[in-house]
Amino acid sequence: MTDAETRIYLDNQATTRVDPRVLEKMLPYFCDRYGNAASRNHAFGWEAEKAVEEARELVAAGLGARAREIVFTSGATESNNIAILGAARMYAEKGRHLITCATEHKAVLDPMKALEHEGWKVTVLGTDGYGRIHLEELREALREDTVLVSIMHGNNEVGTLQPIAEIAALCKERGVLYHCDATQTAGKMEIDVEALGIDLLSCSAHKIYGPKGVGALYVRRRNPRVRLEPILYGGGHERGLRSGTLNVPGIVGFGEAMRLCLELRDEETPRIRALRDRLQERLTTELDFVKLNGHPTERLAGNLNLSFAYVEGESLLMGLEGIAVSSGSACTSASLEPSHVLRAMDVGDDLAHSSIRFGVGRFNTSEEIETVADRTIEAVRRLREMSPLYEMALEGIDPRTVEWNAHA
Amino acid sequence: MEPVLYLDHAATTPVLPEALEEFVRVCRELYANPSSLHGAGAAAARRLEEARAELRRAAGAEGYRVVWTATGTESNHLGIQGLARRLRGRVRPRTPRVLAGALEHPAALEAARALEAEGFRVETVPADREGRILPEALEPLLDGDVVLVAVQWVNNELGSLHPVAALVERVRRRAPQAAFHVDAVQALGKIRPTVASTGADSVAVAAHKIGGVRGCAALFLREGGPEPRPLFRGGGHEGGLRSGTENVAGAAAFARAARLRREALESEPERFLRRRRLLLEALRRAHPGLRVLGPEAEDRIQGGILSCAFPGAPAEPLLHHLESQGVLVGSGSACHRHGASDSPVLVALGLPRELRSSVLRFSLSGSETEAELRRAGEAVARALRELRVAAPGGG
Repeated sequence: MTDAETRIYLDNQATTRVDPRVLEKMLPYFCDRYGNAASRNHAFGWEAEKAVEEARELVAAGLGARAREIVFTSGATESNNIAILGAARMYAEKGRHLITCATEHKAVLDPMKALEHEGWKVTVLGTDGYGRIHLEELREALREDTVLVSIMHGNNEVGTLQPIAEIAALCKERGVLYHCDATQTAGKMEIDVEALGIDLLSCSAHKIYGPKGVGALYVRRRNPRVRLEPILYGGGHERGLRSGTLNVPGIVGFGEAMRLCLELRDEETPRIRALRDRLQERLTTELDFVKLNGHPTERLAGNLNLSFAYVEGESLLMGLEGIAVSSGSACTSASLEPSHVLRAMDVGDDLAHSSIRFGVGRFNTSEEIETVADRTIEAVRRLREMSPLYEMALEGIDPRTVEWNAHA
Repeated sequence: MEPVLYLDHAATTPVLPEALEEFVRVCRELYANPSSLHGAGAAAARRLEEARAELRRAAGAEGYRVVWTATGTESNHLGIQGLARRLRGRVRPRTPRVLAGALEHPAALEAARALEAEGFRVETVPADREGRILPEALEPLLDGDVVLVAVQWVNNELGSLHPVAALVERVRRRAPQAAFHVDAVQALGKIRPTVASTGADSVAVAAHKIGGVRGCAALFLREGGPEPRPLFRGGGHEGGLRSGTENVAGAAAFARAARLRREALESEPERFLRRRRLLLEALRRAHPGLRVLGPEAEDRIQGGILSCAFPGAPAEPLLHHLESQGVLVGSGSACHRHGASDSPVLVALGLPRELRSSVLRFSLSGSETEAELRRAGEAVARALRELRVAAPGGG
C-alpha cells in the first residue's frame, strides 16, 4: 500500500472496521469476565451469561424480534446454512422443494446446491434488470411441497433491495417458511420480523462495525414455531440449535454494534446516502459510458456499483492503489469469472468485467469521497486513452456490432 | 478481599495480553476482508496466512494444513462428520462403522452419534479403569467396515492421556481404509508432543482453551490424507472446507497464544505437572481421604487437570463455599449442564454414585504460584469444615 494519506477504505459491503466504541465494550470480556457462558457453577460464568443475554436483547431489538428467537452463530454464512439445511431437513416430510433467487449470496446458493445433490428440487428465480424478483414468478413457483423460500433483503454487490414485505406475505398466504438473508441491511435499515412475517433471518456483526466471527439467526418461535435440524451438536448451547462455546466478547461486540447502529441510524443513513449520491453524481457526469448496476432508488444507502465501459475492472482496481474498492463480490472476487449477480441481471460480460463496487460506510468523509472521485475519473480516463474500443464508441460505433476482419 | 483464584482453565482461559494486543491491532489496522483483491484485503489475507504458519509451528504440525473454524465443537464436527461422510463410499454397500472413544467430549460424541441418522453404525471404544483408551481395546473392533475412529488426546474431566499415536498405528494396520480424528482441545499448549507425532488424519484445537480469543478454532488436516466434506458452504473459503468470512483477528490471537504456550512449555516442561503435585499435596492436607480420578502415573496425564472426589462432600455446596472464598473451580465438564453426578465419564470409570457427586475439577493455567496452590487447599479445608465433612485420616 502507498502512504497512509491515500489509504481510503470504501469497501463497506465486504466488511467494516470495528467501531472503537464496540471494541471498548468487548475488552472487559477478554480478560476480566471470562467465564464460559455455559459454565453455570461460578460467578464468572454468570456474568458472561448476563452479558450474552443483554447482547441478545440488543440484536433482537434491531430486528423486531424477541431475545429468545436469536441464535448466535459464527457469522451469516453459518446462519444461512443452519436456516436452509436445517429447515429443509426438518420439514423433508412436508416436501422437498425450495425457492431462491439467482442473485443471492453464495452462502445461500451453495447450501441450496448441496440439497439439490441430496434430492431436493430448487427453483432459482431470475430477476429484472435491476436485480429484483418478479413477484408473479414467485407466486407461480410456490408449490404444495415447497418448504422454504430464501430471498435476501439487500444485495451485497449491487445493493438492490428485494420486496421482502410482499415476499413474506406471499409465503405466509401459502404456508411456506420465508428465510431472509439480511446481512447487508440488519441494523442499517428498519426491519420488523414480526410486522413483516419473516420466519428466519440471517445477519452478521462484521458488516455493522462489529467483530468478524459472530453472527445471528432469527428463528420465529410462534405463528408458526419454526423448528430446525442443527448442524452442530453437543453441549446443547443456544437451545440446542448451535452447540459450541459461546464467543462472549464477540457477542457483546455484536450487541453493541447493533445498539450503535440503531442509535445513529437517523443521522447516519442520510449522511452515507449523500456521500454515495455525491460520488455517483461526479462519476456519472464527469465520465461518459458509465452504467449504474442495481436499482436506482430501491438500494442500500452506501452502495454504488458502476460499470465503466471499455475499462477492465481489475486494471481500474490497480489504478486505484491505496483505495479499497471491489470488483464484484468480495467473497467470490478471487476468481475472474464475471459476477453471478451481474450475470443474472443480464448486464453482459463486458460491462460486468468493468464493474466496480464502492461501499460507503460510517467512517468515510466527504474529502475521501472527493479524492476517490478524482482518482477514479483520472484512472478511467487514462485507461480509456489506451482503448481503441472507447475511441470507436466516441465516434458513434458500437464496438459490439463491429465485424472484425483479419486486416483490422 | 483476596483476588479471585481462577482454577477452571480447562473450561475456558482468560486471553493472554499478547494475544489480546494482536486481536485489537488486527481489528484496528487489518480489518479488510481477506477475500478482497485490494491492498487492504491482501494485507488481511497475508496476516491470516502468517497466523496459519505460526499456529502450525506452535503445534508442531509439519505435514498438516490448518483450516480455521469458529469453535472446537465445529472442528470436531468437521473432522468426524466430514471425514466419515467422505469415506463411506470406501465400504459401500456395507454399513459404514464409526468408532468413538467412550470418554469423548459431548461435542465429539454427539457429532458421531448424529451420523446414525445417515446410516452409519456408531460404536464406542471402552476405556480402562484409569480412563484411557488402549490399543488392546480398540483392536478387536477394527475391521474392513470402519471408516472413522475418533479418540480425544486428553480427557477434559480426568486429564487422562490417551496413547493416540499407538491407536493410530493400530488403525493403519487393521483398518487402513479408515481415517483417524483426534480431539486435541485439551492437549494443545498443555503437553509437549506435537500434532505430527500422532499421525492422525485430523486434529481439532480451540483458541479459548489456551489464552486465545473465543470464536476461533482450527482443524489440522494431514497433507495427502482424506479431505472432509464441508459442514457448511458458501464462498469456498478455506479451500472449500469452511465457508464464511475469516476471523482474521481471532486467528492472529490464537496463533500468538499457541506460540507463547509452546515457548512456555519448552522453557519449563514440568510447568503443569509440578503445579499439579503441589496442588494435590495441598488438597490432601485438607482431605486426606480424597480420591484422585484418572491415571496415577504422570506420563499418563495432562498435568493441567486434577479431578478429585471428596468422599462425604457433595460437590455443589463445596463449589459454592470455594466460590465465596474467591476460588473458582469446575465440576465435571462445563459444556454440559447436567450435574457432576451423571457425568458419563465418571460413570464409565465405574465410580460409585456417592463419589460421582463429590467430584471437583481443578485446572491450571500453568503460571500459578505455590502460595496460590496452597490457598486452594486451605479454601477446600475451610469449606469442608463449614460443611461439617469429617475428613477421615486417609493414606
